[in-house]
Amino acid sequence: MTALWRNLTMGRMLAESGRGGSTPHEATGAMREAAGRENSRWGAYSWLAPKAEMQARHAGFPGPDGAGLPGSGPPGPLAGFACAVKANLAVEGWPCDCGSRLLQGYLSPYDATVVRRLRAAGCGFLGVAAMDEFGMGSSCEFSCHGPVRNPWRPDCTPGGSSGGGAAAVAAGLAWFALGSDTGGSVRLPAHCCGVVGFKPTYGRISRFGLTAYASSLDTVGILARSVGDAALVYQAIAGRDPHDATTAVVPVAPCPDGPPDRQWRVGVVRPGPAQALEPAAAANFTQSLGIAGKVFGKMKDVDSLIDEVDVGVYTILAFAEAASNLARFDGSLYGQRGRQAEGGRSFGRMVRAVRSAGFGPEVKRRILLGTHVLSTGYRARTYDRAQAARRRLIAAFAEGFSRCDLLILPTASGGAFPLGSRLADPAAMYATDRFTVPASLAGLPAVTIPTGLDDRGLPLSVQLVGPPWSEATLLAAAQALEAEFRFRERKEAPWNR
Amino acid sequence: MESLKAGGLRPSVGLEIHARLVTRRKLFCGCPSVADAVDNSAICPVCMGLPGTLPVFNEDVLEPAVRLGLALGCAIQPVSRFDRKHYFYPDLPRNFQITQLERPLGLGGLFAIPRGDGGDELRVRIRRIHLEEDAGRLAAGPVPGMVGVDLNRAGAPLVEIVTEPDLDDGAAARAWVLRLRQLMVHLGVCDGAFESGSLRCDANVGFVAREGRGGAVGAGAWTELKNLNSPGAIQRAVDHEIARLSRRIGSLDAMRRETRAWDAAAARTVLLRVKEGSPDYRYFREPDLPDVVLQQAWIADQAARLPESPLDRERRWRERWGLAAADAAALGREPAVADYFEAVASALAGEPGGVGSPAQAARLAARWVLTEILAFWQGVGIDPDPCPVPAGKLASLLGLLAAERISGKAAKGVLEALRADPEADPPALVRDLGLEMIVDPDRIRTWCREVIAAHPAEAASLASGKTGLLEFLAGRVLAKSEGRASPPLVKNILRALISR
Ligand SMILES: [Zn+2]
Repeated sequence: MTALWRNLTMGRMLAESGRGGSTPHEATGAMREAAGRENSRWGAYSWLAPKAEMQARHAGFPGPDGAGLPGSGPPGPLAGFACAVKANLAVEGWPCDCGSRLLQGYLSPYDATVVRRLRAAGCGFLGVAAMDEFGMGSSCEFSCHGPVRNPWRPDCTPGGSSGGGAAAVAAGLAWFALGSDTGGSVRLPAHCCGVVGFKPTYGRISRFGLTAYASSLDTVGILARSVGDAALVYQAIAGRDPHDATTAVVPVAPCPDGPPDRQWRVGVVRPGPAQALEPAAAANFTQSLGIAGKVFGKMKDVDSLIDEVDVGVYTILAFAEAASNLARFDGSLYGQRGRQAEGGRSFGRMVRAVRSAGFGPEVKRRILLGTHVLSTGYRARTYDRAQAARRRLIAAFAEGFSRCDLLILPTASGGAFPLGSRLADPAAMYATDRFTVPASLAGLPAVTIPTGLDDRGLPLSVQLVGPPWSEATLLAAAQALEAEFRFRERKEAPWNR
Repeated sequence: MESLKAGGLRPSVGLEIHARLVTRRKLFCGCPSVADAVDNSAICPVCMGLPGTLPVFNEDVLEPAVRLGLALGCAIQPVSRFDRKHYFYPDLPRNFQITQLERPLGLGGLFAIPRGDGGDELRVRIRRIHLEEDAGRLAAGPVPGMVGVDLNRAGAPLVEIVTEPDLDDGAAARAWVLRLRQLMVHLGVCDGAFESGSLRCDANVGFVAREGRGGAVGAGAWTELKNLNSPGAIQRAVDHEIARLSRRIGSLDAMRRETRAWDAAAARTVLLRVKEGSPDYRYFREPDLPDVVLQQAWIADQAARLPESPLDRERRWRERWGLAAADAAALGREPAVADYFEAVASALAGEPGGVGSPAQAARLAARWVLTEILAFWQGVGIDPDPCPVPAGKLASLLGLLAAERISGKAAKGVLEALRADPEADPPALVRDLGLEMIVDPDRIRTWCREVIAAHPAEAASLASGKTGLLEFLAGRVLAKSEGRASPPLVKNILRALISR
């Protein structure tokens, strides 16, 4: 029989505990034991927290004698639970290597705001989740720790870049995972691993402590076992942070419990001819729209808001910002300086040696492209035009949301792809994000929920996108939809095996 | 320089001045903004640029920066924003600097200073004033052969002031920068210390066509002079560079845009790099910082609360009190001195009896501050605290002098006593030291008679019209009185006795 900690959501775990079952603390202890045994199968965690540290820092985590440490003050809403943290988020004293050789051995001296808020909610941390180097990838294959495997099929990728967290949640080795979503890096792995992926409005959740990839697009996102769990975590970490000037003062509304107070107007964004879905995904999307119609009533088509150009716009803007953000990694203050640099006779030589040896091929490709598009003489044709296109996209979404409350669209054109299948073709890899990039460019909240399986037995999903600051509505709608799909109950799912 | 005139060109120099704003915290983090501290003792993850950290704008810098901009006549922009400027350097933790390129804090402006003693004005237009963060500095490393980095300064708030090329030589550049420094110190926005790097200057040196000689060959900004870190360096480097460029102007092939540094030891500029090969900074908008938005009412309030500028103050001293331009400039150079002088002058004008008009009081105060106070103040370094002699005490002392109750010599003695004991009361000191001027005509007449008897020849000559001898005889009388007899009274009585 499957252990409860492997398949229950946090909400149901609390209910079980209330009926006299095992406590979240005990369940988390068992989960940590299992992670130690099973992680090598998936490579989901690149680093697991020593049990002694969890006992010392995670109030309520079972100590050597099996009893929980007394927490200070009332237990938080997440007391006893623990999560995986993507390797680009700062946890004091923990590795924050961003999946890069250049940062191997770097320990963050401070906590990210989201980490601090989770601690305050009583939540602990199981370990560091593997990722594509600096968030640059859609497959978790660009990592200094080797590829992460999809718990549904180990020969497939878990999606990226937050693939380690998605795999950990799918394998039942984390209650949830903190990820980051710049162009789909939470939603795509959620799609690939059959879990819920939530990306907030830009500015809703603090980025302080999130290693920057593309600052104007980066968001901290959540990979969870259910929409309800994602909402629970979202409530704990969202809101204005004085350490992140781009966080908004907009109040965080509580996520409604139960049926909606009114009918949502849902618009359908159908893929254009250039974005054709794989046959199984297309069939699933059609079927999903049918189910959504039962929940949301009659839905209307919205003029296609996604354009093949979006990926190009994203590429230019994200890579330009990445080239800037990653300039700091020169090996002088922290990170791997490497033997090549030791004999360096100048700062320039040292920087070249450190960056040549430390960055992987995809990161170098993006830095070079990003540097190019901001260079004198090229900027007007590339970066400035991409900025203009982004403004048009934002306006188009605003117009779309004048006629509906939510949009429904696919997350990806097919299920998880086999390991290695897109490594040789960067353009194909970038195009993997074509359905997730628009919400990122427009800074909109989005949630991905699993809907079914493709012909290879890999998960598929739909994505809901809302207007800015509509997280509460979005999550409520997603929860209503989730209840119809009943995906967590599938026997084939890794958490039910 | 003849060749220049022949070419229809005149030198044209513009300045870029970086001034560290006086604020408690750095520009984008909570670290203290300190000039002198143990290496790397005022740093945090944000100003170290550690992964995941974000800048948060410290609004405390707005008031000093806006005050300075307003004092320079700039139009403060209701919306300004930050950009990233990219270059790799070990003292720049993120390898980009956060500055303002496209939307600076202030645009336009004019700062005119008097040229020499009165006369015409040196008018320099301000192109822009913007905010940016300072870098760290290279320091001796802990390991021999390695370079260390001290990041205490990294993220300190700077304003950069960019002028139009309205200066024509090194002396003008030096004078203008000193006046700008005076203004910044007066406003309390910068400590003005060149030595500690609070004030740094770059200069763009080139030529423009003389009036009516448009399109003259050789016009352009040719050299950017970096790191002119003292007023003397500014003057010498600019003059050196004008001369160096002038020699080349005949052969245009030799003209190229260069960045050069001033080598003070060798007293010459040295090539850093040729402009064509200069870095592409790839500026773009800093995505982590929202726009800086200022309310018009707040800007207007800052403008209304600006104090009188040092230049206006000196003009008032000259025009209303009749101070000589040089004296006014000397008194106004340091805000502490200027404030002290104003305090003495106004207290003296209020002293009871015999001071005369406020202008007379001010001139007397000016004389004493310039000679006596400045002299020993400069010995210990100008600092309002500790003040050598409280302004009220000096005014009280000068009041006694103006009322002819003590002599000038006695006044200096009282001043010395006041320095030793600033708490002492000047009238009481005069009394205790027995310095009260002797105005008793009988006593003075006795001394005069004795002097005339002792110097019969000089007395006779005086009687026959050699008036110059009056000073000689009066001097003898004053000596007899140990300097305490009233000099006017002595002279009157001498004249009366001789002419009798
Ligand atoms: Zn700091």
